[in-house]
Amino acid sequence: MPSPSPTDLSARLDALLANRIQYLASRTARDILDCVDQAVQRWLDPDSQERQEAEAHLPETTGLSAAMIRHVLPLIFQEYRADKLEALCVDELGCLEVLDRFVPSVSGQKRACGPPLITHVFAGNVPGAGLDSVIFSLLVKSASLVKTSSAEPLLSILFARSIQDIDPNLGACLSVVSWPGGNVELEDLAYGRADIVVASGSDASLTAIRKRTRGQFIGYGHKVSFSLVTKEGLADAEETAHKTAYDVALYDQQGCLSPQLVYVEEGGAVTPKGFAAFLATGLAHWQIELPRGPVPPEVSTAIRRVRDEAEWQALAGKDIALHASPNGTDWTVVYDVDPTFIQSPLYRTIRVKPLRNITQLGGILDAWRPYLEAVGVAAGPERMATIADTLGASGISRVCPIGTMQLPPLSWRHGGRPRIGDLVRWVGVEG
Amino acid sequence: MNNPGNSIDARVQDFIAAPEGKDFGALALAVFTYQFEHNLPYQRFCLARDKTPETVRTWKAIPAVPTVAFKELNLSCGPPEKIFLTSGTTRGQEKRGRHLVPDLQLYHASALAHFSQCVLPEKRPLRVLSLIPDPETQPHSSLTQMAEWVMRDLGTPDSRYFVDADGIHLDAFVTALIHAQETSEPVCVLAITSALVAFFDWCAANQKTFALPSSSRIMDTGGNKGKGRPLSRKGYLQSCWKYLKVAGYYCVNEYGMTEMASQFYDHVLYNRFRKSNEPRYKIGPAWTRTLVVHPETLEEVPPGEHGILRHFDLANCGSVMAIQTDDVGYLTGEGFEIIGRTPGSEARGCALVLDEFLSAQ
Repeated sequence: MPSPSPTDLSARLDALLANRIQYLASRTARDILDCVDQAVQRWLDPDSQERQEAEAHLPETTGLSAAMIRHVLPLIFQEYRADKLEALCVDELGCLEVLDRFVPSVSGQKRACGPPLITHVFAGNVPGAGLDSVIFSLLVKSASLVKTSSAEPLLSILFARSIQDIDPNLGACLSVVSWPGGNVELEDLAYGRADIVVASGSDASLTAIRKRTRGQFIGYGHKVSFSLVTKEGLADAEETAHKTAYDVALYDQQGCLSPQLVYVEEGGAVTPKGFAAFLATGLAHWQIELPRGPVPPEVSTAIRRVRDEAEWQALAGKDIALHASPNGTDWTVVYDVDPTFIQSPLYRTIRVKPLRNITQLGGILDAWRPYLEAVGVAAGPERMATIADTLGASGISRVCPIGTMQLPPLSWRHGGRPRIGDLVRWVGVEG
Repeated sequence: MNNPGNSIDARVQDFIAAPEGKDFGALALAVFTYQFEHNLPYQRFCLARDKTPETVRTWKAIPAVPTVAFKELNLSCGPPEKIFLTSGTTRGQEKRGRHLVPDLQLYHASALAHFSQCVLPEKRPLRVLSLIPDPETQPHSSLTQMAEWVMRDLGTPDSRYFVDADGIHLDAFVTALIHAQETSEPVCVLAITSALVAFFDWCAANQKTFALPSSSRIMDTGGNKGKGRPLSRKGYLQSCWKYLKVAGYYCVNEYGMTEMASQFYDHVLYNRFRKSNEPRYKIGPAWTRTLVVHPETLEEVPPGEHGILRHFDLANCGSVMAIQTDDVGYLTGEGFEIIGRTPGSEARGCALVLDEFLSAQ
């Protein structure tokens, strides 16, 4: 996609704002919801043109295998069905209608209003990431400018086209653009004129975007997640390992919700070391079902370094076990007794570490507090509340069952903040 | 053979002394057999890959040890005469690699023979000005050991160091440069690249330039990683000319590693000496070979294609001959060119990657 000129971009922003007044401001939220739902249904239909095009081209733009793309597309879009979107509005705003008119509140009446323009900045190329906030923006009746990553512009373009197809007026309130980062003139326009900028990316790129933002800034930085298997979770260790392997394999571990490490509590039916072996079997399975995409050379080297280190530490007599895919660097499991939290080079490389006691986690996670996102937990119901307390206190915003780490419900408060709630301004009328 | 160690050492010594007409492959397999028998961690590493002297038929198939192994185990075929340590990285705290050298004589022979060919092909002793730290400051550095040998055995008696525990002595270095200018006696500067860049910065700040006598030369090594300002190779060569009047063909970059007894050099000066005008690239001595392998499959890639470098060095007879590096490069001409260390990977998705976390600390 060619970069727009500053004049083009400025004209686009003018058009978005004018279209919003003409087509969006007076529509009911339910009407918008229905339209989005129709678009989403197309994406859930494997024979639709959208799906076919996405499946043909996304492997190249995302670096994920064709099988992975086919697998994740329905998972992404099933969360955007009308019933789920409405439930989210009810959860965060009280009801859907509060976006259309004043409704009774404890002190009189209230109404939630979206701003005229929201700019969305997608940094990475994990497919679907950020699409939710575009849908939320339409729901709160804000025009949206989407700046996609230059590597993966396709999914946003195709989704915008679905909306355009179903309802050209609604489509006219959504525009997808892309340019290589660092273009000050374009960024001043796109971020400077928006009432809200929603951005994902590294700390460095978020800081750069925030600097050019004049309105509200909502940033989703890069995060780390991990898995926690308790004694109780080891009752069916093979099944738990299989599900953990799925969490690791999905999106080739590129997501902020992908586990980078697994902590396994000692004293269960299987040792943490035994669990690592099951995890390797699981990853071998998913390599057949959902093969990993190609990796850049520096990643191969980083994964080999992890393997070499483990192999030589084992040769040196340390209690370490290495399980590695026979060919290339497709998947790697390292069992390591040292409980220190260590990041993974990703692309299905994971360390398994034993924990004597869950309470150890607090200290281990301390340095990671600003970066922690989700924990996939395999535990019995009795201890779940205590574990959730410990994890919540460490800065984690999502605790979920193992095997669902990459399938967050729409209602998850990403980054610990309301999603739609953060986009609206409330008007209260008293008396 | 009652003493196979000495025997294999002697064969490598002979090879280094007169490589012409000798069979690298045959000696490499003999060295592998010796290392397989005497270096037990290496033997276990080979056995895990079903590689033994019986199954390995060519030098290319000799199992290569990753550099990280030197951080975990003592990889030596006998009691060490000297232990060299890798420098700590900018991240600190990391374990340092240990290269245990049972026979320093072999190391000495290899290092000096190839240095001499690439940096002093005329075989005329020069005054060595070293911007590599002295042995008291860096007792475990293989680079300092090499500088020490070069100064002692190939330099004139007034050769000296300008870097010690107090840092770089620029005043003394400048005095030595001026002395060289006045006496018209060419010098050989040995430098860690970052030290030379610091000197260039000093020249720029103080508006100083020097003109070293013709035939003066500079060997630099180590790049400019993490220290001072970044400087491209081209910018570096321009600075050598601007501040010292040393032309590019007298500027030889060295690439070596603590884990290897032999080093690689730009062959520009050697080429000038033998009147060849091949473009600049690195060459190793006759008792080394370099393969470029694909980082994902570890299979050999054709010349010109980028991959990671794997070195085979007979002078490493007493430790491990085959070393797998993380250095990215490609084969060209009779040698190779190095592009750099593998960079940390950039985030493709929204997961925090290692370098981001480290840079935030």
